[in-house]
Amino acid sequence: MRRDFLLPDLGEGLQDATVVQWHVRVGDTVHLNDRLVTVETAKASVELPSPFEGRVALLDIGEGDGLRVGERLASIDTSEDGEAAAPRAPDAALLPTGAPTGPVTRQPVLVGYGVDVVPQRATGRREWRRRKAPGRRALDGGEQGLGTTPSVPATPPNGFPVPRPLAKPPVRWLARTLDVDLHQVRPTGSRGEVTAEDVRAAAGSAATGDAAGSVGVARGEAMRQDERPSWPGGTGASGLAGDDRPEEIPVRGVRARIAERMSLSRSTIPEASAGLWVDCERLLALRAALRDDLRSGSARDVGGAEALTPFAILAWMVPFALRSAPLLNASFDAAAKVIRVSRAVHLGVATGTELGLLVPVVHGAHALGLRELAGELARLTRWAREGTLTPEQLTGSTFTITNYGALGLDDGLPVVNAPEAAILGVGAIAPRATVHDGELAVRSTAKLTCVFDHRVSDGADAARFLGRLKALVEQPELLLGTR
Amino acid sequence: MSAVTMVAAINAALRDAMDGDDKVVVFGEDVGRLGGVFRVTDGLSDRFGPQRCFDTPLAESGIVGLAIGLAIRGYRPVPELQFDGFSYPALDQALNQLAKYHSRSGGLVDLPVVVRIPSFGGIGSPEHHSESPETHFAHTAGLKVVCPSTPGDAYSMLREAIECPDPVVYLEPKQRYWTREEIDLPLRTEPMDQAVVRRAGDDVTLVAYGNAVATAMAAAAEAEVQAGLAVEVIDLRSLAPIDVDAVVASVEKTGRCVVVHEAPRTLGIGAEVAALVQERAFYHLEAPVLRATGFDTPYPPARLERDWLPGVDRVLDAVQAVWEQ
Repeated sequence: MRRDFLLPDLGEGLQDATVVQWHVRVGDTVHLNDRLVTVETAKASVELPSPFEGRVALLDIGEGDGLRVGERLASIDTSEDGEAAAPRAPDAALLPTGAPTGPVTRQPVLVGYGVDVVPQRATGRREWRRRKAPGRRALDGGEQGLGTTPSVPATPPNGFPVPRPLAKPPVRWLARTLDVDLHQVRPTGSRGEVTAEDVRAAAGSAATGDAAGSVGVARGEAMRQDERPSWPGGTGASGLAGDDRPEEIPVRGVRARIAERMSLSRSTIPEASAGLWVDCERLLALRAALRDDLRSGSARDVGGAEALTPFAILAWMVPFALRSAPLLNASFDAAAKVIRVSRAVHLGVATGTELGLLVPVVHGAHALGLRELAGELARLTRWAREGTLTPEQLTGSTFTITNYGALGLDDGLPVVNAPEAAILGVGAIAPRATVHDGELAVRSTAKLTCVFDHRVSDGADAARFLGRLKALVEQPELLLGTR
Repeated sequence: MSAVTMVAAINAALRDAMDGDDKVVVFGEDVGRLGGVFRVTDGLSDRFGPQRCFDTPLAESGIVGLAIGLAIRGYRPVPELQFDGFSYPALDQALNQLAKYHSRSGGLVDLPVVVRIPSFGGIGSPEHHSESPETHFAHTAGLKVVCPSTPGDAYSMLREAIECPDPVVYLEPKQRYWTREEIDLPLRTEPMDQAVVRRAGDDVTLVAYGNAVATAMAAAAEAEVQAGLAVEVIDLRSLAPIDVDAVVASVEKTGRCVVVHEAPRTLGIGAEVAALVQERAFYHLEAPVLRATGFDTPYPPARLERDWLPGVDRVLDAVQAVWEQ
């Protein structure tokens, strides 16, 4: 195949050049990048390498003659095998570094690497984030939650499109929080828009029992209370009274995965548990001081202040406490008869979502500063609820914490997140009657519970871990001496 | 404490910076012998000599180019472009060189240049003397753009800008040059990249900078008298970067936001603030973000400028509109 070598642009927009000397003759064999010709431009004299491999068929320009950019300098018969004959950009070898050398996709220009002649496409490096939880409906209807009947008929009876309900953004958020479909709400606003009162009224009339009231405070809480599946076949008392057959909910997706993991944990891990009460007054004071500082101090970070919850501070203390009991940050490999103690702490954080329980992972938690960890925790929790976590963010934990205290629970007995060796449960921080300095006092306290794989560690490990964590929570200044 | 004008505060900041570092040099049109058309550089040439405070030819591109060269050689130049409209001949040097030299050199070369520009309208001056040039600079990555609205801020932010290793465009609201504030110099106010709440309120957020801060304060006071509204006024101070956290924190509280600036509406700072607010605080918004701005026309002749500039009435129109949504 005969390939033409056109004079490329040899500088910023130079238009022509003069051939000074040919280094090959017609009939010579040339290899890729062999010296072909010396040309002179207004700026410099340049040796041009051969962009092709083959036999020189034509030399168009005599020595001393000039030519313009884009005109043919020479033709080369390339070797006959398919690889060498693959179509290439005419002066591909002279394009700047990084320019494509594959099939022709660009038109050469005087300045730059050329103009695309094929449409731009996705790089393939990006994956579409997973879709929102099926339980979350689009604000204006659309895909419905588990088992609820679609509120908008696919084909409206009168054939006209269903208008999008009018509502201000905070009302849309309220409707989403209360799981209210705006199409189903009668608007009373002066512009025909749905008001917050309309949404609350709709939620109140639709919910079973007192669910609406409790859901109303769910926004911004650690766990949403509307995670329970809605009742198919209608809502409220009518659904229950009309039909007493059990409702069957298919076990799939996240629910199936939770079932599998829990069964695996309970069937393979002989677990034991231990717990103690901690006084949280100093922790709460520390958090208040840090928040104030972040809101108004020189290191102002309003978003960071929001993320700095008591739980985030406690989670940050966990890697320090684990140093007292490294066997809790490990895994048991029964087949290999080996205990693997992790040097890093990758902290799993059990998070309630509409899909079910997810455990996003704060990787390298032991190396993070407090604000970094708190920010990461806030982001992961948000993405967990939005259903946008990546697989990497859901795997690789070495130790897990579960904050059932956010649900208002005083105590719990969590299941170890296999194959990890332990899990920490954190109960609600609340004022309780307690003995402080030998006196009965009302203090904010919380119950910490550690469930551990008894094959890996013993009660003494849990005691050291919890004891150290208690010391850090009650005397945060001890952290100053940890490193 | 004494009542210090903004002109005196800027003059003191230049004097103190030149006292503290003999690499600080001031130059521009009429800044030397005359002491500046607004007396901002009064006395500097006498005090520091014509080597450190001197007049230049009427060639703004050359003024900024000179500053770039001096900065590369270790100086901290503080050039003045005499009026906002006169900054446009310097845009080539400012946007193509000043903003890019640091990244072009792979971070090797800092350009600690502060370009002072008496800006905005409201003083009855002819064309080229009443422009709002901020968007051109704020849109160009590599430049910081700040704009004080009080004498105290004018002093503190200019000192901070001169100490900053990066190029800073320092816009002076010349209509406020002779407003006074009871302060003691030297002083440090909030860091120059932070917005400040000038007046607290829970009902509507007014975002402003430069001349418009005083307009916003007057409108907030009127809104309280006329409608009992508690209007929060945020003085942006920094236009690049914008302290979005401060704006969002306020809008999350009020749910309503109006941006005030003299510059024409299209693609102004108000457009950017509105975009940031809807990105970050969408579910808190009770009303669309509105803008009370100059019009999308060339700056008018002086006798029409009071009708052209966003005054208290135009701001109140917007406040009422977002409130009644």
